[in-house]
Amino acid sequence: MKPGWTVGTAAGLAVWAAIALVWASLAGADPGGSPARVIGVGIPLLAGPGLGFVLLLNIADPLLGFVIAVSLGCATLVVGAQISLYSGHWSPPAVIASQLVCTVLIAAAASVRGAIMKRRREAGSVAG
Amino acid sequence: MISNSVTRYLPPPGPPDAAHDDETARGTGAGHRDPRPGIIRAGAKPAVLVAGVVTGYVLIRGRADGNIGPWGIVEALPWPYLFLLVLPAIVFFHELQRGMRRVVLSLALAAQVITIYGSVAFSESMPRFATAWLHAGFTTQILQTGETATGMDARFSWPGFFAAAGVFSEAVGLEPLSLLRWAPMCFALLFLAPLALLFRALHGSARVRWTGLWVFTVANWVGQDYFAPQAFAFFLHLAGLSVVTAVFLGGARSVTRSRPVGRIRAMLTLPADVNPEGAAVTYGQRSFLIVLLVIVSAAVAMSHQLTPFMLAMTLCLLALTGVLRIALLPLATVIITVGWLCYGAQDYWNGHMSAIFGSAGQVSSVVSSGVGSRIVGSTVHQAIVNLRIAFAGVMWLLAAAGLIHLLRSRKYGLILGIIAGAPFLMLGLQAYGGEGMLRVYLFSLPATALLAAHACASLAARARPVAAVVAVAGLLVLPVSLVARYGNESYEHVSAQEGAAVAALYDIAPYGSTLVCLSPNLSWRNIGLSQYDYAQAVLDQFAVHRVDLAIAAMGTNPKGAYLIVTRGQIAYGEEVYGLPADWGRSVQRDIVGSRRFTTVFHNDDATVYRLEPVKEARR
Repeated sequence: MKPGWTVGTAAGLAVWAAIALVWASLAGADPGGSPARVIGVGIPLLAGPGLGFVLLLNIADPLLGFVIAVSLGCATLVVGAQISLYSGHWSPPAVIASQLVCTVLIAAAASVRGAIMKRRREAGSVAG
Repeated sequence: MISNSVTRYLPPPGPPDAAHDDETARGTGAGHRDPRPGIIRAGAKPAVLVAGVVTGYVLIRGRADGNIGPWGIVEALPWPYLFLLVLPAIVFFHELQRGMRRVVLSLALAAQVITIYGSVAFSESMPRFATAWLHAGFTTQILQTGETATGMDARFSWPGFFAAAGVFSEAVGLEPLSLLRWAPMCFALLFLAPLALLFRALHGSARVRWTGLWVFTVANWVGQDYFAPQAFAFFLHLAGLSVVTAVFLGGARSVTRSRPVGRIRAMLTLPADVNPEGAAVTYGQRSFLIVLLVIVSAAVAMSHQLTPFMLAMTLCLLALTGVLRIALLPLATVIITVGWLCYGAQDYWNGHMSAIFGSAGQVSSVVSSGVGSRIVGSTVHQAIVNLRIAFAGVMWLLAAAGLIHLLRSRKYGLILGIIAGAPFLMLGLQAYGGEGMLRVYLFSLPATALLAAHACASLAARARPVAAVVAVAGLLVLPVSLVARYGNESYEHVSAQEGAAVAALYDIAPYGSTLVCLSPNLSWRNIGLSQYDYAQAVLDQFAVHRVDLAIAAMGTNPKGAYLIVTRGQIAYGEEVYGLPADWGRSVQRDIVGSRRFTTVFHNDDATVYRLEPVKEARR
């Protein structure tokens, strides 16, 4: 995977997750669901952390990356919801926020890592 | 610990494998007759697929109510829809022969999933299936109370899916019931990605792999992909298994073909040309993937009773045969599974040890409870059940043929055999409420679909007439699959009027009252799970005209008792119990004749009765 591509995708994911976080916070438990909200909030919630890790680890195989992104995202959502449920502090907004904040942080880290790798590669090619 | 050196051997010069016809050939242009197709030519197939799906939606939208017969959803579909059902398959196999473009093949597969699952999602006015409604109720219960009611239902001991679904529904602003309609289609589409990864790791021929995906889609008639923990856990199971096979499968360290042991080891070793992408994963990425697999195992263990055991059994078998060289992974899966059983599911196994292990070793009773006991009811229902059994039998026969062909070709068939065979071990452990055989079929289906695809491709490669027979059989299997999949739709679908009756029941009945239905297939309990007293279904009593027993079963609740009778319950009695066609009218007569019930809601498909206290009845 090209570092430039990783930087852009990871930055885009971080922005998307941040928007989803704000959207979910403003909407709260309002039952005004729409296809736009399913895509805008649902996708980063289910696949965000996984996709962030795929970008952070620079997994080049797109099929493997997709499977990891969705399965890890769903698995972390289950684990987060279970922790909330069994700790006696059931709070769906907290689980949503933790999932999306994790996505923002991991995607930002992936973006920074990609930028560093890109700079190193460019420096290497100039030196070469 | 973590082996980076995957031992592989060069593929042996066996008989022509139904094409080691790679997509790389397509990449280099070898598979193309025209390397630069024009825009119209390139877009024709996708356009046909999109048009087919849209036409299908328009054609059958809202058509199911009142048109579904004993053979299920096929009776409600107009014949052009059956053509639209076959259309993606035609495009898919044409592309498989001519172009091998991934985009077109993926679109055709997606269109196939949409036309199959859309046959109910598009045509029915309400979300289908009683158990899915109950799962929506579990989700609502957790969402509203933040507690699991383990005493109410065993499934609350594995609440991972329900809790996550609750969080998701709150995030997207939809009621859990709204998720039911599209969940099966979404799960079926999701399954394809890990399956593609799994198949890529286990078979060298792209043509066979794509065919395997189509076979899986069509042969997955067991209906476990609704809004349910098992569908979610099955996806995670597939994801975990596919990542393990794609990245961590090695093989025998020394491969020698001169001795029997060496031959077996060779069959357990991946050839060099299969899944080169897996070998390209770095050491650091592998370490992360182990952590990922542990998290996925934990999510599976928290979500479903059976799936973690299936995952653990498969991984253990792969480790025991030396195919999987990381013993840590199956060990972690076993520890997590048992750990959750001991901690999270403690309330369940405390009183149900016999239910969990009571059928251990009784393979024949598990099989008979899963097969023989289901061949009951009306003639049509028995025919549908027999069709399902035949479907499963043909799949296993084809898979056996594919396995034998691979083994005789000295190819890597044994790994597929292990993955296909591992779920059968469950037959010796658990009856799973009479659904053991269904689950075995489902969990073995990924490998059996690939093996069956290999067998079909090998057959089709022999001669053109044979290929034509295989193609025709493939197209004919689609409507048959629809009957096997949605053959129970006469009593599993929910009409708009039935939905309205259930909503009216919850409006009329005060909290704490007793709610009774005739048969267990009523779609309700999506709300107020802990606010009402749900009594046992009373179909047995009504079937023998013992209304007094039904009234006794409804109890003497001072807050009142309500009985709901719907079209679907009457159909259930006819199809599953084999009751006569007029038994519905007979029930209504018995209820009215008892003079104990007052009608509080009525429409064409449903009636809600209130049980009057004894004193009022005497007056």
